[in-house]
Amino acid sequence: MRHTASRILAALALSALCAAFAAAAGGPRVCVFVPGVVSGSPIYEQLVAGAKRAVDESPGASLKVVEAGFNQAEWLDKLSALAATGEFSLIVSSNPAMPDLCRQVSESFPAARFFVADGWLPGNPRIHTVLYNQFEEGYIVGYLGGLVGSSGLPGTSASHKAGIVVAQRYPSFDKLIVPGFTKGLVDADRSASLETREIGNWYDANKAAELAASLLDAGANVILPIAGGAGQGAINAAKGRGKYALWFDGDGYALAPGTIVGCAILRQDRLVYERVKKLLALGEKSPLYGNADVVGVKDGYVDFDASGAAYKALPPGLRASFEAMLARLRSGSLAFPVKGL
Amino acid sequence: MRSRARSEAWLARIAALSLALALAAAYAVLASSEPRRALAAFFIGPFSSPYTFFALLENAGPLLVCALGAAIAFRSGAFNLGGEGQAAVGCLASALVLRALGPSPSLEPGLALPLALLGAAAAGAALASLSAFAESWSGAEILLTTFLLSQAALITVDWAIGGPFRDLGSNLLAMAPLPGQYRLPRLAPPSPLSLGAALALGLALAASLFVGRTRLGYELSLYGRGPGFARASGLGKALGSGALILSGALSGLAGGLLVLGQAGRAVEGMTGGVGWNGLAAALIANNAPLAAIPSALFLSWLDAGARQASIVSDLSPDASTVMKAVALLLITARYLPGIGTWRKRRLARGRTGQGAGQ
Repeated sequence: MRHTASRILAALALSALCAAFAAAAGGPRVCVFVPGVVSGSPIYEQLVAGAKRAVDESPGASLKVVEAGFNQAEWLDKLSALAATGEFSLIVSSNPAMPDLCRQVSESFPAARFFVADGWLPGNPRIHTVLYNQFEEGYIVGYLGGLVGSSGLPGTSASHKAGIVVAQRYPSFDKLIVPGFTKGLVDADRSASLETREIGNWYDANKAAELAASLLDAGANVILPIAGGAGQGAINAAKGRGKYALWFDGDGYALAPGTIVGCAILRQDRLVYERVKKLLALGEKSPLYGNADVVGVKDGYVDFDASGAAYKALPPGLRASFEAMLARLRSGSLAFPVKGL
Repeated sequence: MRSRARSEAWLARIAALSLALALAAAYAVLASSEPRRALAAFFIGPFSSPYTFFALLENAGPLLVCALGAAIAFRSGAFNLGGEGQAAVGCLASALVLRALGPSPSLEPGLALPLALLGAAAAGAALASLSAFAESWSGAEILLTTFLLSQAALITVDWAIGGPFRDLGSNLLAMAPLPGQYRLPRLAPPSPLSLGAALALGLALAASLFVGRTRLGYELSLYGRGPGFARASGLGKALGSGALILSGALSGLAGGLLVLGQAGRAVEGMTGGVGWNGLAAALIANNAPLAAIPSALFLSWLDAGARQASIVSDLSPDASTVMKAVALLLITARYLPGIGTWRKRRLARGRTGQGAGQ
C-alpha cells in the first residue's frame, strides 16, 4: 500500500518535472489573462484571437488562456499566481482595471512582462499599455444617436433625449465616453441631452432592462448600453418599446436586428496581434515596455461597423451626414486627441 | 467504546476525503485534455514553489478563523449559517475604520491594525447578535435568521463598497487601497503570507484551550448537547446566544483579515465563499478547533490546486468547487453509506452478543 502511494507520488512528480522541462525547452510562452470569461464577450474573443495569431506567427511560441471570472476580488490573487509560475515571457490582458493590478504584481515579480490593451499606465518599464480613444468612440455613437433622435423616425419623439445604461462608472467612462457621446449628440442635434443610469454590476440583465425602460419611458429615443452581458436587457427594453439602440466595442447588430442602428467597434484583434508580435520579437528589451499609447479612429483601431441592416435602412440623408462626419474622423481633419487618463 | 466510536468517525471522514480526492482526480482526467499535466499541477502545484505554498497558507487563515466561529456555534447547538455575511460586514468595517483614520495615520500601525480587526469582529458580532436577540425574543430559528440576515448583509455590503464608499478613481468596484502601513506585515515576501495566518493559528490554539480546558467551554458543549439538561443544571440560555455572538465575531474578524491581507482594500464580492467554506471546514473537523487547522488547509489546497491546474492545463478553476461539494456531501451525508452500515451492523452485533451473554 505504502509502495503504491510512493509510486503514484513519484509518477506525479516526474510528470510535473517533464512538464516543467517541456516548458523550459520551448520558445516564448504567452499567457492571455482574461478578467472575465471569453465566451460571449467580443472584446475578449478578439483579445484571444489577436494573441493567437501573433503566437502562431512567432516560431516556437506557445499560448495559454486563463479566464479569471467575474469576481474582481480574485483577479489580483490569480494574476499573482500566474506570474509566480515564471512560465510566461509575456502576460497579455485587456481591461482598464488591469494596468494597476499588473503594476502591483510586477513589484513582487520583476521578471514578469505585461501588455494591456484598453488600459493606461505610463512609465512602468515592465508594462506596455494601449488606451483606445474612447472619446472618439463615444462621439461616433453619440453623433448617430443625435441624428436618429431628431430624425422623426417611427418610435422617436420630440424629446431629443438619449440614454446610457452603464454597468459601473469607471474613469474612462466618466472622462472619455460620456464627454465624447455628449459632444457627438449635441453636434448632431443642438437641443439633445443625455441621461445615464448605473446598474452596479456586469451581469444583471433584468436591472439593465428596468433602468433602460425608465429612460425610454421618460422620452429617450435611443439608448446605449455599456454593460457587458447585462446589455442585452437594455436592448430588449428598447426593442419592446419600438425605440432604437446603439452598441459599443463590437458588432452587435445580430443581438436585435431592426433595433440596433449602429455599432462602434474596436479592432482589438489587430492591435493585440501587432503589439504581441513586436513584443515577442524583441523580448523583454522591447522599447514598448514603459510606453503608454493612445490609438483612435485615424489609426484604424476605433471605427464604425456599417454592415447592419438597421443602419442601412436609415434615411439616406441621415446616413450621408453621419458618414461625412466619419470620413473627417478617419482622415484626421476632425480629431479629439486624448493624452491619457 | 467511546474512543472506538470516535476513531470510526474519523476513519469515515478520512475515507470521505480520500474518496473526494479520488473523484477530484477522476474529474481532472475527464475534464482536461491534458490529464497528466492537470493532475500533477493539482496535487503538486501548490507545493511546487515557496510562493504557491505560502499563498495556500495565507488563504487558509481567514478560512480557519471562520471555521473556528462555525465550530464554536455548532458546539453550543446554534447553527450559524451566516458566516459569509458576517465576514462581509467585517470586511467593510475594517476598511471603514482605517478610512476614518485617514491616509496619514494619526495612530501607529501597531494600534490601527488591532483597532481595524476589532471593528471587523464587532461588526460580525453585531450581525450575529441580531439573530441571538430574535431567538430569545420570539423564538425565531437561528438557522433561518442567520442565513437571511447574511444574505441581506452581503447585498448591503456590496452596495456600500460599489456605491457611497467606492473609490471613483479606480476601475474596480472597490474602496480606496489602504496605505502600506495599514496592511498586515508580510512574513515571506513576495508571497502574500501575512501575520493574519499566524493570528489564525493562534486563535485555533486558543479556541482549543477554551473548549477543552475551561469551565465555560465545557458548559458551552454541555448546552449544545442537551439544552434542557443544561438549563436544569442552572446554565442560562445566554450561553447559546454568547456562543453565537462569538461565532459572528470570529467570522467578522476573518473578513478583516481579508481586507488587511493581500488585497489591501475592500473589493465587492471579496469574501468569495469564505463563510461557507469555513462551515465546511468545521464540519470536516467535527467542530474540533485543532482539527479545523488541517481541515482549512485541505480546502485551501483544493482551491490552490485547481488554480494551479487551470494555469498550466485547461482544467477549469471552478473544479475546486465541484471537489469541495463532493467532499462536503460525503461528510455531511453521515459519512460513507458503507461505513455507516458497517458501523451499525457492528453495534447491533455487539448488542446481540451482550444479550446472548446475559
